[in-house]
Amino acid sequence: MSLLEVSSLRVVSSDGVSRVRDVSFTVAPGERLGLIGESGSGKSLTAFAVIGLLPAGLKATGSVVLDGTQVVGAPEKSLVPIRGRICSFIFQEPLTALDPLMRLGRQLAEPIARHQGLRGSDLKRAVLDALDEVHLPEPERIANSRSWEISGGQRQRVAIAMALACRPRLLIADEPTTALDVTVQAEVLALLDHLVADREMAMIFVSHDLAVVSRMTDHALVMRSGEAVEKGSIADLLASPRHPYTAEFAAGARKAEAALAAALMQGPAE
Amino acid sequence: MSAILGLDDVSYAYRGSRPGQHAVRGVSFSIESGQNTGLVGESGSGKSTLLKVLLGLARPTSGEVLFDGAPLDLGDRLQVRSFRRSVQTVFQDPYSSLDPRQRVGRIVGEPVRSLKMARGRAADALVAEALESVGLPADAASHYPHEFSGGQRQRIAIARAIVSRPRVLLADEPVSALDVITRNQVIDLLAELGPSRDLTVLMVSHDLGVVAALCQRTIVLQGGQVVEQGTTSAVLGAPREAYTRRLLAAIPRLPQI
Repeated sequence: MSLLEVSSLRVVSSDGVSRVRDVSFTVAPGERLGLIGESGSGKSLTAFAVIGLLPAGLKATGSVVLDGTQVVGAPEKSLVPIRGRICSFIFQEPLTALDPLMRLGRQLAEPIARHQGLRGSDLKRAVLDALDEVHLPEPERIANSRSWEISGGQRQRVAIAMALACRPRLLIADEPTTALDVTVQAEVLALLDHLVADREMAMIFVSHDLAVVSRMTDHALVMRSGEAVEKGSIADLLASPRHPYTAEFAAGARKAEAALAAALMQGPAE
Repeated sequence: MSAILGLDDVSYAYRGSRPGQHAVRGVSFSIESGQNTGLVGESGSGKSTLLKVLLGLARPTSGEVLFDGAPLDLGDRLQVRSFRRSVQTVFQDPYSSLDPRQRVGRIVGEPVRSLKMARGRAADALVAEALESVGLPADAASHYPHEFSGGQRQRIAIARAIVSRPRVLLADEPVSALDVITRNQVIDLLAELGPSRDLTVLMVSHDLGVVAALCQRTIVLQGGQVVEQGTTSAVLGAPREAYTRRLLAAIPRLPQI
C-alpha cells in the first residue's frame, strides 16, 4: 500500500487561477521521489498541499491520502496528529522554521516531549542526542543558542533534527540546501541521505537543481506551470526524455555543467 | 593586454570591528582587458566587500585600487567621472535592482544622464542600442520592469550597465536568481558582450560552473584572503590548494550516463 497517494491534485488561488493542475503520484514506504521544476512550476505548492500547509488564499481540491487519512478538505485539527509523526517538512530557509526568541533546545524539546512523553533530565538528554544525531558539534552550546546565533548550515541541521524528532515515515524537503554554501550543502545532503536511509523513511525532495536531486533520489517528477510533465528515473529523464520540456530542462542542466566538466578534465595545459 | 582595474595589497575593516579584524586582508589581483575573471568564495569570504572596494563605494583601510595603473583617488572628480563611465555593475536580484516606477528607457538611460554623455535623441539612440545588444525589443523602453520576466529584467540591468560603453562590468552573482535555462542564456549574452563591445567581466559568484563557462581567470577567496588565482583551467583542472579542491569536490554533479 502506498504511504502517500496524490490524485488529481489541483491548487487554486482566490482569484481563480490554477497554480497546480491535475497532479497525481504515489510514494511507497521507504521510497524517494524528487519534484523538479523551475520557479513557478508548482513543485513547492504540491509539497505544501501534501501536508495541508498551503499559504492563505490557496485551496486544494482532488485527493491527497497520507497514511490512510484524506488531507484535502480535512479540518486543521485532524491534521495535527499526522504532522511530525507521519510526515514532516524541511523548508528552504531554516530561519522561517525556527522561532528567533526561543532557545533552540526548548524548540526541539517540544516535539520530542510530545512524541516520546519525556520530561526533565530524560528530555534534556533526548534533545542533546537529537542534536548529536545531526552531527552538530557542542550540542550543549547549540541548545542554549537562538536561531540567529548559529550559522545557516547549523540552523538547517537543527531544523532537520526537529523534523525527525517524531520519527516521521515521510520527510518532505523543500529546497533544503539552496540557501547554503556549496561545501555546507554537500555535508547537509550527505547527512539527510544517511538519516533517511537509516530510518527507512520515504522522502520527497523538492528542488530546481537536477544535479542536487540526482544526489538524493533515483526517480523524479518534472513539473512545469503547475502540471506534472513527466515522471521517471533520473537516468531516463536525462538520457531519453519523452516530453520536449524535460529534454530542454535536462539539456539546460547539462550545458550548465559542461564548462565545469571540461575544465576539471582538462587540467592545467592550455 | 593591460590591467584596467586592480587591487594592490588591499585590506578592509568595517567600522566598529575589533582591532586587527579585517573583512579582507592583503588582496592583490588585476583584471586584464579581455580576460573575464571569476571571484569565487563562500559566505564570509569577502566577495561583497571586495566588490564595494572595486566599485569605489568603500575606501580600503590600506592598499590601493588601481584604475588604468593609477591609484584611484575618490577626491579626484575627473578621474572618478572616467572611472564611473568605465566600470559599471550588475546586481544579483533583478527584482530589487530596477525601480518599479520608472520605465525601462529611463532606467537604462540613467548612466547617460548622470555621466552627461548625451541628451534628447542622441541619448535615446544610446538606450535603443544598449537594449538591442542585450536582445530586447526596442519598444521595451516604454514598458515597466514588472512586465518582464526575471531573465529579461537581468537583461535590462545589463543594458543599463553597458550603455555608457564601460570597459569593465562588475557582476555580483548575476545569474544565481535565475532558472537554469535562463541562466545559460544570460551567461551566453555576457560571453558575447566581451568581444563585441570590448568589455571585460569580473563576476562574483559562488557557482564554479558559471565561472567555468564565462571566465578565463579565476580567483578563489576564503576568509578574506586570496587562496589561489590563475587561469580557470589551471585553478579548476589542477588546484594547488586544499580549499579549492574541497570546493570542487562539493559541487553536485549530474549522473554520468
